[in-house]
Amino acid sequence: MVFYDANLSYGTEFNVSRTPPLPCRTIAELDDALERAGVTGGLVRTLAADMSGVVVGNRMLAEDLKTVRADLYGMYTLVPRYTNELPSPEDLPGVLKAWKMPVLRMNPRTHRFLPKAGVLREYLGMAADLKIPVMLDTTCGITLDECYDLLCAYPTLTAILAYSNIWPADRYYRPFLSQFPNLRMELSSMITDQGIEDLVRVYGAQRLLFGSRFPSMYIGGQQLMLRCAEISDADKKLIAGENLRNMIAAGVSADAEVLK
Amino acid sequence: MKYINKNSALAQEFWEKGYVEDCPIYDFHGHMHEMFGGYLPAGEPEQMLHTMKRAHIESFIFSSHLALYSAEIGERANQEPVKKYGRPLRAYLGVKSYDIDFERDRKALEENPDVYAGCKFLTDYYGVRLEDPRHTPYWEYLNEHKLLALCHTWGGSAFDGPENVRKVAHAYPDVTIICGHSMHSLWDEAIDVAREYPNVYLELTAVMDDRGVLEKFVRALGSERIVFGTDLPWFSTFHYIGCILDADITDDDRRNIFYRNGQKLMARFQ
Repeated sequence: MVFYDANLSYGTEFNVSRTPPLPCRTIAELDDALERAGVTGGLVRTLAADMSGVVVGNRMLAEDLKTVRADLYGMYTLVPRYTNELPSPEDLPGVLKAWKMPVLRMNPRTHRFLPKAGVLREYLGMAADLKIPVMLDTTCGITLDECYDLLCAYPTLTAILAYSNIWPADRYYRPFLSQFPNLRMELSSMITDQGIEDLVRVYGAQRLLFGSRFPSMYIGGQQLMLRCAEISDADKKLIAGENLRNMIAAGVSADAEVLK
Repeated sequence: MKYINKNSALAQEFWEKGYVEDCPIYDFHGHMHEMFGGYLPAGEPEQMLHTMKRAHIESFIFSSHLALYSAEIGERANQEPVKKYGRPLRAYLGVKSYDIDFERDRKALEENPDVYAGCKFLTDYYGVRLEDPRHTPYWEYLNEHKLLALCHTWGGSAFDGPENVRKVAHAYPDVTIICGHSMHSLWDEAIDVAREYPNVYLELTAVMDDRGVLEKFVRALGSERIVFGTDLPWFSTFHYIGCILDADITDDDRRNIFYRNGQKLMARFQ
């Protein structure tokens, strides 16, 4: 199997109580960890975008991505356009392409804005039109309720739902998979026994993305769970990495320059 | 390509088949049947036994959700699967703090020596302290018969936090106290309690989604006082095995956690 991990991060958290027991401070450390686990590439965010700020953090990630062996793609951190800190919705696709950052993300609590459809409409409208994936990660300052409201406003948005709740939570997230056809679910917290098999039966393997949430969680747990899942080898390959690569390829930055 | 952990020969063996012949799994924290708070795709005994066979689980000690939460159904939900299927199943009698009847439960334990390995205390859920006088006859019975007590333990809890565990571990030294979830989040205190009381073991359910905690336990305590657990049918056995294979500990430590410690604790029941 070729693994592409949909939920990686690195950087230094300034709140000591939130620092994981085994942090991953640099992209070089992340690169080594991926090589240790046999992960070919994936999607990564830097904590710097939330600690230092979006302007510094996005640029830092773009520079760091040039230094790694793994086939890593960046998650570009958004704030609303009204303060003009980031490129306009018209200019942003070109930046994403140039910086090898084909996925958008946000952290509304940390960056202090309302995660409302109306607040983000220019960027989310552009993302929906161009099929640029938007990561909705409930560890990053947005609740599941807020994710649902955003998706109701943009039901065709290409989105990745990373719901951080290891409790068997199908009653929470299955409505997302049922109602939003372009949503994919990142699986790092979906560790229910036979959970992958059941989701594949109901929604198909195309809707699921391998993810570890490294360094907060182990990569190997989700790797072995997928390896031993009672689904076809073809479905395992989709979940392990092909779905993520296809998702990136469908977006505006998908071309030979970006996808190796 | 090597997966999970290129530095672990055991990880590579598990990757091949999902199990390793000479590395069985002893799971000390299981459940069974429907659960009010979530959908479980594979919670019935036959489904769980299928998982156990695939994961090479040699011993699985559980307390059914229905035994823990349903006063109407109670211990039938524990006894029937063990009587029907035998190994690898063993049960913990659910100490229902909301429906205490020690004579009923003593009778169940004594009439079913092949079913039970001890008792399960879920005191956080019931809002009753581990050391509450209502639990005293259970602790005395477990102590007298040198049985296991699986205790749900959670950091910051007034019912099953470190101080509560200290009280029962001190008062009942012949009970093997398995701290389910290892006093979650109060990792240093969990280590302290295990150091203070040789009858206290740390268990890994809901610990393994915090990368680095197991490494901390092994560095501070060694791997001989840590046992494997999953909350199956909640959490995937394979996920938990994969996490332990990924952790920065030795393969010898992993074998202690997967089965060696368990074999010692369960030897008397085999």
